[in-house]
Amino acid sequence: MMVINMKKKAITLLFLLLSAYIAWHLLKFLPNITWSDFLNFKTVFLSIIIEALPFLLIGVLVSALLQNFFSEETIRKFLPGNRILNILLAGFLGIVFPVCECGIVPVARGLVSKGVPLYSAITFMLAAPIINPVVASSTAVAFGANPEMVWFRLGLAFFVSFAAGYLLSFWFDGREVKWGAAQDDFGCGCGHAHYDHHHHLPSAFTAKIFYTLHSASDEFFDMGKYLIIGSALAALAQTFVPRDIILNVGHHSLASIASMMTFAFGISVCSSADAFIAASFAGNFTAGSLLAFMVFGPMIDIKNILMMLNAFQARFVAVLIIIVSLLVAVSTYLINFAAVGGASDC
Amino acid sequence: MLRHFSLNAEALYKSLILLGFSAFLFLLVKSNNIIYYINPRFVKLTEAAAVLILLMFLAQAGSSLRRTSGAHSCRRYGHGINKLTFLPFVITLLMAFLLPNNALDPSMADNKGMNLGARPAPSGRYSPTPAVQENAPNAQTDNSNANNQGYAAQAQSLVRSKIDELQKAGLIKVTEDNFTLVTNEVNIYPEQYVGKEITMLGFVLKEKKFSAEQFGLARYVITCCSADAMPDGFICEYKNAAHFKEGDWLNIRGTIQLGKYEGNTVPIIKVAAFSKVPAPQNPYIYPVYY
Repeated sequence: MMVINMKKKAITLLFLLLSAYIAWHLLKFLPNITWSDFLNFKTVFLSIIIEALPFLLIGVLVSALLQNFFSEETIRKFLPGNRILNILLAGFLGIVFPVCECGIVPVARGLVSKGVPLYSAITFMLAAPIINPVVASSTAVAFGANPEMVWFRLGLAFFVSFAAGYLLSFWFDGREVKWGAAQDDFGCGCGHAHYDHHHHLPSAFTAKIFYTLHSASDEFFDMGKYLIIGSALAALAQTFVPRDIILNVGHHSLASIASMMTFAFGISVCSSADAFIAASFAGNFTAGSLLAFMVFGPMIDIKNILMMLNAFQARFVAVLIIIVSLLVAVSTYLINFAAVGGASDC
Repeated sequence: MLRHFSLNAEALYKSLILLGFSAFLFLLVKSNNIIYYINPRFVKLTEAAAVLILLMFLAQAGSSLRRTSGAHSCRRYGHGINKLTFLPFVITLLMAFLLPNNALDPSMADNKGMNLGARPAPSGRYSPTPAVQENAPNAQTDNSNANNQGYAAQAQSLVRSKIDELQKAGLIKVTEDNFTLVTNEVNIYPEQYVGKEITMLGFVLKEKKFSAEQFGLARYVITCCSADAMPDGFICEYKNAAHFKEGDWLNIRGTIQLGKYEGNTVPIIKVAAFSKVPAPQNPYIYPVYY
């Protein structure tokens, strides 16, 4: 217990230091932050939260439903035993089960707690926000001029999430998950909860509904604070960092990919809207960098990382970020190199 | 009986915060101030979220009055309530209730950069067809239908006919309903619209690369929420452009001409007449994509 508390404190402290550092830099560059800047910050901040709330709620609700209504055996029956088939299935699950990246982390943790292998849950977590009908159609509209971008985006997202899950399956065995409020019965946090499950529950359906709502709201608080902090950081970046600081590299292949990935990480917009932002850069950026923006952003951004750190061990999250970054950067660089894709002929 | 119950502080804090969030979302939808934050097509989702949070509030409030004996006694020791965890929620609620609801200020457009460069034309198509899109300020559309073939074809022909209308018209009136249709079409194929008259409402944007006579006239286009707002519009020319302040709302009338911006051929509106107007009730444009 003590160790966990120390770690939590250390992470909070590190986080405060980081925010202080960023704030200090911002203040140095912009000595005159006006009231209207602050109101703009507030509008962007609240708008991200209002937009993300329903999706976070879906996420914690699904996680709580998994906890209260499904047994491990039921879920295990549906899973193929073969590792590759297992990961493949996870990659396509988003088609029938579209969850936006704001709500996916609690679902992934809930799946692991029900016996789904960690690597499959991670593949699902990376793939579902991109490989789903809503995102596919919004990308198709945004890139009406280059419809092949849709296939590149979906294909690349599938490749990255599959490869990341497959690699992780060799290095981690599932002990990297930190159990949260929904997995502890009623959020006692006493440590006994997930061993003897439902030790004080009647089996009545209404009681199950009550416990589902209860653990959903506990997990809402557990994850919500990271969503809020992440949204605040993204809103700060949007309000106070001029875009041309990161985005004046344009046609240079590798630099454009790196800057677009940084940009996606920083602004944390929803995966069904980011295609429109990417499309507005189509004239000035390489096709590979636009793909990097649209594949990396939904997988890893500020608010997502904070929630992942809450659900998984820091070392695991670090390895995951490195793997995904490398996969995205290398594959989009190869795409640029092969000069396939639309934006090159614009 | 009542004295056998004691308040569970953690569940009490949680239920108060949940009530706050639910009330905030309900009030926002009711007052219609929600349009400053998100595209109206997501309002149904926000309402559902408010209802769900209210249910979660009931569940938490129920357990805050729970008898503290029995299985839950472990909560009293083991680990105390970390009040710091609630700080982000409380700050968010304070900002939500104490600060005025307002639309994005035009000053932020500087950070975002206006979408003024030449836009790529669709490749491999025989006829000029822009991205299939159109605006409807309050339309509620169903995203899941977007893939439907027949529907898409119908939308395509709808857009086609709107574009034909644009090309025939002597005067293009830019409204909230056709905003992105016009800006896309005219920015992609400026040569087809040279000499046409145009009227438009928007706010003034100044960029360093503009000459003294130039200014941008733009509005924010919001796809999901105001975090993805992109200023969109046209470059305008007027001899006394220096008098316009950034963020002024103008109703202009002018003619479309060709000009150069950063080496690209772009449409430029020669302003013939203008009037300063107050900011419209709803300053954003919400594109609805088929």
